[in-house]
Amino acid sequence: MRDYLIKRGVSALGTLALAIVLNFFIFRIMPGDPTRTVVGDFRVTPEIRQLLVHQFGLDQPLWMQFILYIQNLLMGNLGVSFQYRGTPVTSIIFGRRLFNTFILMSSSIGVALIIGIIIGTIAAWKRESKFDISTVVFSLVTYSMPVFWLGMLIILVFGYYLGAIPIAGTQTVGITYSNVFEYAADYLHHMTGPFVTLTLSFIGYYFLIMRDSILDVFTEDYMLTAKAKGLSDRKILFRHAMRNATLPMVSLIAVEVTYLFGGATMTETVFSWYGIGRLIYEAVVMADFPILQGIFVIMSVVVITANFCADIIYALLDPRIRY
Amino acid sequence: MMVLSWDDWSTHSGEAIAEQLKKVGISIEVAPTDDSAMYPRLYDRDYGLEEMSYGYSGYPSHMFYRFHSSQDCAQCGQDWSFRNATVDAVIDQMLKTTDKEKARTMMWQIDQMAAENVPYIPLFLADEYHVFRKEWTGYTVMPAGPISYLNMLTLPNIYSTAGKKDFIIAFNNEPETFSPMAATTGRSLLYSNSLYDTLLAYDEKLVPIPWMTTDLPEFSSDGKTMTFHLKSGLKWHDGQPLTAKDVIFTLQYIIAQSAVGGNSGEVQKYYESGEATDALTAVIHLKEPYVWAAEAFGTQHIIPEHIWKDLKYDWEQSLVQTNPKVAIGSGPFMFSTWVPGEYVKLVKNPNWWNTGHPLIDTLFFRKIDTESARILAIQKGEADTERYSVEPAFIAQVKTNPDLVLTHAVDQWDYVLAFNNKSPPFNDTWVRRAIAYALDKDEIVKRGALGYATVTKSYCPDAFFPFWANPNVLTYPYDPAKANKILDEQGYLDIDGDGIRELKPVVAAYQSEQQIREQQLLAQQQAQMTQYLTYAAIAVIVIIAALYFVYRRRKKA
Repeated sequence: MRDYLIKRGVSALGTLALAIVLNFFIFRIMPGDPTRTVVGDFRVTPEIRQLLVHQFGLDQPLWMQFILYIQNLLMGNLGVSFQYRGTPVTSIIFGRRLFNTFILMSSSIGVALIIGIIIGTIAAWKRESKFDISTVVFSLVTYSMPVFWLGMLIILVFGYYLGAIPIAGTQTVGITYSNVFEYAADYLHHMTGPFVTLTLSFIGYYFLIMRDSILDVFTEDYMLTAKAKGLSDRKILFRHAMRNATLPMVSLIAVEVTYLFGGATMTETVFSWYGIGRLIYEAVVMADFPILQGIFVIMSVVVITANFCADIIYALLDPRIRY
Repeated sequence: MMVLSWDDWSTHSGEAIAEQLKKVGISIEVAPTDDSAMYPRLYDRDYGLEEMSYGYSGYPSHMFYRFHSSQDCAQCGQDWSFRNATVDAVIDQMLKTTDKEKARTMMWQIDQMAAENVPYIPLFLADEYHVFRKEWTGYTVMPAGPISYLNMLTLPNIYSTAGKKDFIIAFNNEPETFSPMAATTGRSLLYSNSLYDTLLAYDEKLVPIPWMTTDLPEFSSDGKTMTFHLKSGLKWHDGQPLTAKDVIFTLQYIIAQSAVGGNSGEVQKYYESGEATDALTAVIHLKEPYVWAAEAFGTQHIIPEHIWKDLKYDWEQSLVQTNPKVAIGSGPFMFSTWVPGEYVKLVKNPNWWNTGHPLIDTLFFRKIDTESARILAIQKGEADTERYSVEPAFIAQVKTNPDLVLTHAVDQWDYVLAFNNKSPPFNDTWVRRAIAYALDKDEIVKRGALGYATVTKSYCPDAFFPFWANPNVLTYPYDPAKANKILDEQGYLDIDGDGIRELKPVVAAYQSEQQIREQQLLAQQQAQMTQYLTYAAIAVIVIIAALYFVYRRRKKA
């Protein structure tokens, strides 16, 4: 077990080092001149542009920039943003943005996962019934629908015509809350739109995987044994089939962890949801390398850690995995 | 011809231009180019034609930046290498003339000479359509629109006929800085305008008017000394009195700290010394007389000495979270709250010099990311207007809505077709004139801007600069026959009968030389890219190798 842990640990660290190196070069190959996009004003004189280039450290040779980047990273410093005039990247990422993204993504992924697993199981059980066909069609439609279009539609119908949800943001403009529950209510009200949009767009994926995986399990010998033992349909389905079929979903979740921190750029933009996804989009537009580097470093750390944990948990759970 | 790849107006206008020029036998290729490739080529003058938007500020200083020989350098005002000693002389003289009427006559001359030489062809100014909910009134529509950083009049004077006291502007940008010493963009300057005050403001014709001052500044007879008289009783948001010492302090601060915000560039260029002769009088000595000295110094935001004297200008400290003091000014609004990603709340300054104003109590800048959501929010009443012009696709929808009002002005973005005046055949003035005759600008506006733009016929157009525009300047009406005649006379003939005129042999030789240079440049860029990739590859290999060794050693052990 100790050897296994070390082996996994070293390979995780190696992958992280690779990710960190690539992270630096990818954004520098990307076209775009940060001073131009950040300054964005025709009246800025060449001297001032030079000053900004110096402040951004872009006048240093590439290898020097790389060394500085690694040095700062080792000290937990992700640099300062260009577009926000030097705000530290860590304070931009770890704050309201991450909170908003995490709440939105975890709730919509969670709900979509639960709904997907349940209706996936039922649909597989009642294969080729009306329920099965209609849910398959429904999930194919929601899965292939462009998510920004769905979001705009929801804003138009529920936000504008029905007036049931707010059009943008995470809270009502200019309001002061008397207690935390009032804030939570307002926040959840604002979250309805993006939450429904994301949940709808995720359900199809989980549903289809769950349905297929249950259908696979049905062909296993132990299902026959269960039937032969005279167990009720309900017991067979939920005790035996569903449990075993959920295993692939577990590895799926390890992958989905990225979204919890990376957010959903399209949905966040359409609903003006102040999260990480939108930050990525804005940083790309403004060629704000430090922010992009910061987000991707953090995402690589999260993904690699999640996978490391998954490996260990698997090893503990599944006797087939040898050390 | 280079056009900006991400700007639809630039690319579509480019296509229209290419078709129009084909009709007079000139074949050009439209090359949509990203900024990162376009600007270096502009600076190196490595192009023949380019078409995109430049911009105007509150006064026509572009006539200097775009035509003076001294601005023919990389990253300077003109990208077209136009050099003309007579034009330079008139510009130099105009810049030193403090009498605006006299300066205007010279401006007319410059405009006329530019029109004769056609260093570039002005095409159109983008239109500014602004939407308000109909209960709002009292705003001022002027060039660049009712809500822009040039417009100091709208926000203090806007009011609701329905008695609403909160005014909400939908805005897609997060504040970047509140510090007028760091504000370089229109987005940031809008906040500076609300929180800070300036000595002068613009009226609806972009003519300067007194603002914190009792009158326009007085100039000495040599034009090198400028005296501003402040209104009495001015106060900072924290209650401290604002005096002429603050004005001088601001200018000295800009010089001492090389601050980048606002009009600091021109302040640094012209400021020599200054003194506060009494609490209300600021005397400024200039290095040399400057025609727009009043505008340049008058639109610089004034900062409080008692706060900034201990505050080093540092772009990392210019945000309100790290340093709340940067939001203490003397402007019509005071900073209240900023909820990141949601809104910025400013409240009325009850001690503002214009007693009774602002007429609203609260000003919100609400962040909404997409134009469709902003328009829906305004229709629904969740916002009252937006920061920018309505996008063309939404104009029809706004027009038919009885709850909304649409205002119309010209915006500051002027689209031009520019020539590399050094590169044949565009170094031939006759070719540039012929092209000017061959362009149907109305058609270009229809195709490039869906009709939402105003054709510009001169270099200092009446639509934006009514005071400075030359009413009798030479123009080039659409006349393809005349264009053909000029080109025929100048010897650009279609020899092989394919409908495209051939270049003169000298020109042809030059062009093949250009091509070789272009290939060299491409090779250079590729070499640089390879260098980057090599760095990355080496790093990757080293890490993999290290991992491999660690792995092997563990295995052996």
